[in-house]
Amino acid sequence: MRRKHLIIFPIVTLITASGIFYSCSKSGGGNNPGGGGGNTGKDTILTNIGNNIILPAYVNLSASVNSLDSAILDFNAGPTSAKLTATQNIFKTAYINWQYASAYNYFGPASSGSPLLSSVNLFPAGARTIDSNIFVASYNVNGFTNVAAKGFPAIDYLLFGAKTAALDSFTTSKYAANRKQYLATVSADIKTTANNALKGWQSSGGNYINTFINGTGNSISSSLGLLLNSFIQDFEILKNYKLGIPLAKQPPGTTLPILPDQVEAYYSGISSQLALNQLKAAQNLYLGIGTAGAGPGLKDYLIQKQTKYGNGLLSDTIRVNLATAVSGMQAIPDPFSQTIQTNAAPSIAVYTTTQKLVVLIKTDMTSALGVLVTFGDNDGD
Amino acid sequence: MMATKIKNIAPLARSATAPRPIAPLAVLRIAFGTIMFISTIRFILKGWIVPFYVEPKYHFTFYAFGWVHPLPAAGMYTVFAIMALASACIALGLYYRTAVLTYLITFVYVELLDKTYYLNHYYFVSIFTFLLLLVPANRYLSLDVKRNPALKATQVPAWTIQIFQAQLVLVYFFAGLSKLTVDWLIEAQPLRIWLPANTNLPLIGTLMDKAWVAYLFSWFGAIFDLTAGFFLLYRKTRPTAYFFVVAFHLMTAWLFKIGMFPFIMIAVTLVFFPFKNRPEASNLTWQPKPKKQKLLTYTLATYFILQLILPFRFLLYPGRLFWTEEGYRFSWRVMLMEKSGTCFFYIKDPVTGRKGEVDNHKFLTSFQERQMSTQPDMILQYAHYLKDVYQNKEVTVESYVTLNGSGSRLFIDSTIDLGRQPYNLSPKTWILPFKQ
Repeated sequence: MRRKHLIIFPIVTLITASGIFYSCSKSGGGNNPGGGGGNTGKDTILTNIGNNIILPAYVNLSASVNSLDSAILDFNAGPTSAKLTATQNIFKTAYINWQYASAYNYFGPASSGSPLLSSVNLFPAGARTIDSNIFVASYNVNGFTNVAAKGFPAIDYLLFGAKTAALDSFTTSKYAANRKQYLATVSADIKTTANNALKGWQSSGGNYINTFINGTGNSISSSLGLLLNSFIQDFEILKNYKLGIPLAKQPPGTTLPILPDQVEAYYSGISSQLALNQLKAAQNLYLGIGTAGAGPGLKDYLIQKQTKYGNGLLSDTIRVNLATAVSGMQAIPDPFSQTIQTNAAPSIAVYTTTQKLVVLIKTDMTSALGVLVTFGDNDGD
Repeated sequence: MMATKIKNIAPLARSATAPRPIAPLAVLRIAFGTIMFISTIRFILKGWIVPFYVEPKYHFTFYAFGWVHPLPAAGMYTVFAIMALASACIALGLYYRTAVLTYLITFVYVELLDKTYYLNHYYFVSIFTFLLLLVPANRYLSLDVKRNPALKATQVPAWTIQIFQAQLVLVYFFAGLSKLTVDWLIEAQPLRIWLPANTNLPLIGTLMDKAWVAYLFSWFGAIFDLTAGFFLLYRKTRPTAYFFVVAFHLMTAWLFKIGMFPFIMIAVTLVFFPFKNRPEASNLTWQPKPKKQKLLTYTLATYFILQLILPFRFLLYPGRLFWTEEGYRFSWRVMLMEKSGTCFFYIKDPVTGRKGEVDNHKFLTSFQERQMSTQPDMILQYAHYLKDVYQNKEVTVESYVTLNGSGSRLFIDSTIDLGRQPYNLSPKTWILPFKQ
């Protein structure tokens, strides 16, 4: 007798809830039209992103920084102008490959080593620090004072930054030997760091790829949570540092309105190309395009959910804005540092699109997927 | 009129002062102390102290508590160590009064440091600790009694137990009341967003992206919250109700990342059970000192009136509560919103007309940024901070917020110089209305 009261709990709930559900499901708001059960869908997306996009990105990065390092050693052994040009070209390739890996540098193996992989692209280069390191010939490139005197920005400065003939600084200059030594040290540091990250991902090494593919769920420590956080962080660097600061989008202070020397790759002058490649990498991740062609990408999570945005779908809105950003950036010639001084409007338009994308990815997408992007507990019931 | 009212109160007063076995109070003390000890150790081990309280350059203090500041790392660790020690002493019933007061001060201090980390259950722990300060929970099954047997009591006035039961009834009931919304009942939001993220769970995973499951959970949750407190009060329904309490909270602990809250509730709802004392030779009844009785009555009356009023203060504000969050905290509103936002703050030099966007990462951690982006009072606090940093330039914000899958839309009037808007409790006219 006693217990019977409480059976009312679940029974009343079931009846009312199912009543409401049936009346609502008729009036639209249908879910999961993609079919095939959410469970399997999730795994195939992570598998494609891991095997087809992230792992190849680190493989390519590693291969190109290895050949950069060999080229530098070869150049140092006998500097010629032909070798310098070859090294410069290999450097550009490596820097472009970096753009495809950087979105994954804030979780997993790239963020657990020391130094962090992200530390090899802190621009702008600290030219004065680099010069003084070369002068005194005593330094630890991973020391606290050298954060801006290492990585790609340092090599950019060393290979392209000479005010007169570049080759002379490695041959006839008083500090030629020191400069070669510095170049080799910085390159070796990039090589080690990038190779460690790759090893951590590979199944023959740390096998993080396995952890990644099986890290389902939506918590901060799930693969999707980690990936989105890292991707957003990297995308905000594009918006704030690659575009925002040079375009004088940062708050007014004592600095000049436009800051052309704050761009990524100021000395080699390939900033536009690098930004374009980072945008393409973001687009590939979203669409699921990797070395083995197209597969499921981030968009497929949203397609499964059929999340609305305005009158259309969120998945389409993000796709369209990514395409707008890519085509906008394509139209901006290098050197970016000069383009923004003569014709800033197209670059500002790309900047505005990246702002829109930050809102769409950071706010709408994470919210639609119920992904947590911060540590700590949530408010409980 | 007055006389009849007083007459009606009389039986209530009699039942509140009637002697009861002290055992439930001792059980509550041990359960609460133990769970808070675990909770404190967990917080330390998670490594949250430094990123939450030491690393941030700026802290979002509560209104009128701007003077509360964090200590350096060593100091914050010391505070948490004291908290752990105090909670252990509460469980053991050792130096009880001092331990409860110490725990209350250190816990509330930490909670006041930054509203980024505000959780309803932290508020719950704070007020529950305050109530513990008023009762002799150490006079039975405690080291204090072992040290000084004269302290021992076997009977206490019923109110010392009833205040905790009343507080718990309020928590559940208000939590249920806040679920009676169109979003929760008719749209099954935000559970329809949150549950499908659990499709990887064993057994029930495949059910999690079904709409009927979200409706079932929403309705069950609302009915459970509305009734659980009352079913726990009645002897006949109590065991079944407690079974549901355990099952419900374990379920939420499994599905959502809500930390210690489910376990705290499972532990403290034990206070509804009339545990019996061990057979005793004599009855020792504890009574508050006559001098203190009046003060106690007024304190508790004020306390419960406040508890009844606070959740309704949102009625003083215009607009949609979930959107404006004016009067949202301290009201047992939990898990009601999937809300997310992005804020671009602009600094404009009124002289040169130059305008620039702030890189929020320079000043805020991503946790702080995320919480700030959806809460107008925090947006305003941050704007005031930026006004100081950029020396009195104009501060505007372009913020986009999505609420329960609405799609992001403009949240704050982007033309308003927030640096000039006062930070107080009056309605914020610069929050844009939520349009469906």
